[in-house]
Amino acid sequence: MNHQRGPDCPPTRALEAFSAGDAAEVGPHVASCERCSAYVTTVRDEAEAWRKQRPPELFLNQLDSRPTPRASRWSWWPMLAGVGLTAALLAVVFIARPNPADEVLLKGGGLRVSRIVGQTLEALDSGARVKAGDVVLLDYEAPAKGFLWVAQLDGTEAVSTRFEGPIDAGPMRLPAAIEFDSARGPEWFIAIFSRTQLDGASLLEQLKGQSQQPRLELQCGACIVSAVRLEKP
Amino acid sequence: MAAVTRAELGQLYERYGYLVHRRCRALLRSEVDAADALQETFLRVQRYGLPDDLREPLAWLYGVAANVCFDKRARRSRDEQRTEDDELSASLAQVGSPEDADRRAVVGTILSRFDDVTRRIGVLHHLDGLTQEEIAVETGYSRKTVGKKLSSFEATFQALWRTATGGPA
Repeated sequence: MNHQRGPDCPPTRALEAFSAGDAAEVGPHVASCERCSAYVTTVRDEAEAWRKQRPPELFLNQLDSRPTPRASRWSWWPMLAGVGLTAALLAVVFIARPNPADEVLLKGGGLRVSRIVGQTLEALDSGARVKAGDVVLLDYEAPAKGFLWVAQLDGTEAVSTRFEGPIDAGPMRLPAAIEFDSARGPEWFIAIFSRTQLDGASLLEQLKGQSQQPRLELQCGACIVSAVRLEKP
Repeated sequence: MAAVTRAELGQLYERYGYLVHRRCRALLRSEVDAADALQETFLRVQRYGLPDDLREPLAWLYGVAANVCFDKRARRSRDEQRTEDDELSASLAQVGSPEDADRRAVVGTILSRFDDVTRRIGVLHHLDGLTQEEIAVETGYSRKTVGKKLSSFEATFQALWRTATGGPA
């Protein structure tokens, strides 16, 4: 059943949250709106039936029995430590901006790109060659608690946000593995760290059209930018 | 990010598991893939924890699930490009007109062809049911950007629908 939102109705998502016991503020509306009330009732009934078939303990056991992602079997931070400095030197990164109020720090070592090869991870420095079907993982080591924005820019000028959100200090692996498509050209990964929230839409716009440039130009205020440019011939 | 205990994960699943599964099913159009995406979503929660200032758990879980589903779609479409296109054509053929509410059934397939920002906005609009103004407030994107992204989705949807059904231009 789909919810057809009327002019005074709350969003579908709020009704779904209400059905789960949240969003109490929409309760009065639901009580007085036949359409919303029917939707909430249907979702609750479906959820109840679904839960009976899939109790939490069963689900948690299923999670436990899922195979560990192959890449995570490797403790690869030590492996990367040795090449960290090299990566920092080779990573093509940059920027710096005319606005003297900005304090853009240029670093290459915060972001690490690794290709999954069998059961190992191969660190990729800027300039490394990749091919369609290669799968990479991204890791980032934040200098402090703050906000991280990570994007991918390819040779077709397509820019994709790969991560956006608050992070704690220290190393983290980004949630998704990324598989390259067949479009040829450079594959940029750009990570921007700031102590304050970043404007992802503005950053996306700034990156467009820069894939072929040897150095990216970005304006992001007081931030730390690191980037790795791979080549997909 | 706050770590999640096994008990807390179970409680999250009990409360929101069905809704997350339902969302995954809408985006993936496959029971099997949706079940897998549900597990992957909760694995990510287990692995990375919950945001410290989490105020709307369902909205946040929907965001994680959407990422999981689009990643899954990307892998699937590379492996089975023809199948994905066939699925889209078949699904579109079921939509009576480009204005039908049935379009929700193909939202995930079409959005998977767009950039991450359009995907996020498209999901908020077509599945979460938010207006353009509400999306602008939630995402921080301008109302103009939201409108442009949704227009782009709409144009693609209509073009694909015409191609799949031979409908009027």
